[in-house]
Amino acid sequence: MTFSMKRIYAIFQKDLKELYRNLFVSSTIILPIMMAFMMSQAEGVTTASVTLVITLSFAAVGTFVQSAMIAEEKEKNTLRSLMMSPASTLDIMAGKSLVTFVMTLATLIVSLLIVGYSIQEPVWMTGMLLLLLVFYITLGTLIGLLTRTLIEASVVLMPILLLFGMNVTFESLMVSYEFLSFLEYLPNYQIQLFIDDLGQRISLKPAFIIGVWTIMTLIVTIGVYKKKFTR
Amino acid sequence: MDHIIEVNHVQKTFGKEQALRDLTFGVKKGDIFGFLGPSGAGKTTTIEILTGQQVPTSGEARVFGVPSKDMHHPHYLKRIGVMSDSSGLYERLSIRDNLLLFCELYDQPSTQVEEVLEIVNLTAEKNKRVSKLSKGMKQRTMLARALLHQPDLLFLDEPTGALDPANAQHIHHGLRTLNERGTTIFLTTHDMNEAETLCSTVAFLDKGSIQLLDCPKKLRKQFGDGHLMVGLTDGREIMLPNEPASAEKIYQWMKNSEVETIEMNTPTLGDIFVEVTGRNLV
Ligand SMILES: Nc1ncnc2c1ncn2[C@@H]1O[C@H](COP(=O)(O)OP(=O)(O)OP(=O)(O)O)[C@@H](O)[C@H]1O
Ligand SMILES: [Mg+2]
Repeated sequence: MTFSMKRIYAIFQKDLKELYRNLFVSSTIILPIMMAFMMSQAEGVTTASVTLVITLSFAAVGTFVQSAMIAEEKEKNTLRSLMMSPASTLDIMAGKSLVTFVMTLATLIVSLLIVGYSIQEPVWMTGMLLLLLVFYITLGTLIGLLTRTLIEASVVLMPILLLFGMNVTFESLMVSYEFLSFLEYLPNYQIQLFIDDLGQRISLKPAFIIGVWTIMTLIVTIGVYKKKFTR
Repeated sequence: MDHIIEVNHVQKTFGKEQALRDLTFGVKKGDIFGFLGPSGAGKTTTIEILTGQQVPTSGEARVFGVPSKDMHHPHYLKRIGVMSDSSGLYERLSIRDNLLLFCELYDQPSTQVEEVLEIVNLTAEKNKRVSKLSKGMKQRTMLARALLHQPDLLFLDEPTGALDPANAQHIHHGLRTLNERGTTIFLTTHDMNEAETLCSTVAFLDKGSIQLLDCPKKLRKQFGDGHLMVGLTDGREIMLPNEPASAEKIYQWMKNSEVETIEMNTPTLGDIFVEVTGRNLV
């Protein structure tokens, strides 16, 4: 498989231009930003509210935009045209991930500024956020590969938002229903634990669990890709 | 061996359905090869096999010596251009932006865009968004994209299907020019006129295999019955064998200024297809 910066950049530019004109998809950035506004009205910034802003940005923008772009390329048969060109799948996916990455990061920064969160341990925090973002974008890639149309991808967004985009309600749920205790292992809950501990120490367990999620999702995505796209 | 496309006993089945039964043919370098056949004959399937989008169930297909299993490699893809109705365009971008993207992907200078727009007669519309284009304009944009990187071999699946005669003619002219510069063209069409005027070789595909393959002129001569068709001013149409004895009759009619038309009674490609396969070319 070949890899070319020039082609990745060409795809990046193309997707950015298309997204700019695709309000159905790009308006998703409003969701985390609105949530950030609501949180900033509440008294005091809690870890839970900061985490919510982070995971909502990642799921609503990172996962959704990535899946929507890929699903639409399949729906409109443009993926086929790209595959008939010298661009490799790696070029195509890298170009798209770059667009998603930039959009998610911009949304995140704006949202965090609105909430007024001051980062502790910036190096660790940035590293964790990047790892988490890789998970969300890979999840988006997987959904994009499995769905056939833009509409399908947006329907799948709903359960994804509930499971990976929210976390405030988890604690009360887990207390009430023991069988839901697995929710504790979700990456969006683990990042909350990580941020919670940041004042005192760097917890490696959440970092490890998020790393496992990321690697597992990557493996599944590559597997699905191989099954669907290689002859 | 000057065949750049070689297809040997190719079979293709989709589940229970047999799309190609036993396909064997070759295409010479420099040809404009017309692939004709009724709907469902397997024309698109053949193009998909030759462009690496499908693999044959059995048999062998090679283009430039490259076997089907290697056809997804960039060094092969750079040499071919493909246009079919399943090659989509970015609806939110302009014609020009669509073409510029592929210029980058193929490592071509952006001046190529103007060049191909000229061929497909879309220079004036280049800044229009694709979503606002007519069907024929979209088809011409797809054709332009297939030409961008000056491929050695072009696969065109019904390239003029949605075009008015003027634009079809413009495209024909463009394709001939490309062909003169060395591009081999493989096209499918339902338009017998197009096949006759444009193609140097035609193949009839029916029931999953080639029924006939030759130059259109030769075919028409071969299937002609050697009769002359004389149209007279009183509306009669008279068939005469092309032999000295007929000259006398024609001479008389001509002397009385009764002749309106005289032509060789050669069959059209469509007629020949019906004769060979006993079916209509839909
Ligand atoms: N992906 C596929 N899955 C199942 N069957 C297929 C597939 N592609 C083609 N076929 C079948 O193979 C046969 C040949 O189809 P193909 O599209 O090659 O015909 P065609 O000659 O291009 O027809 P047309 O002139 O209508 O475009 C048809 O019976 C079609 O139903
Ligand atoms: Mg077809």
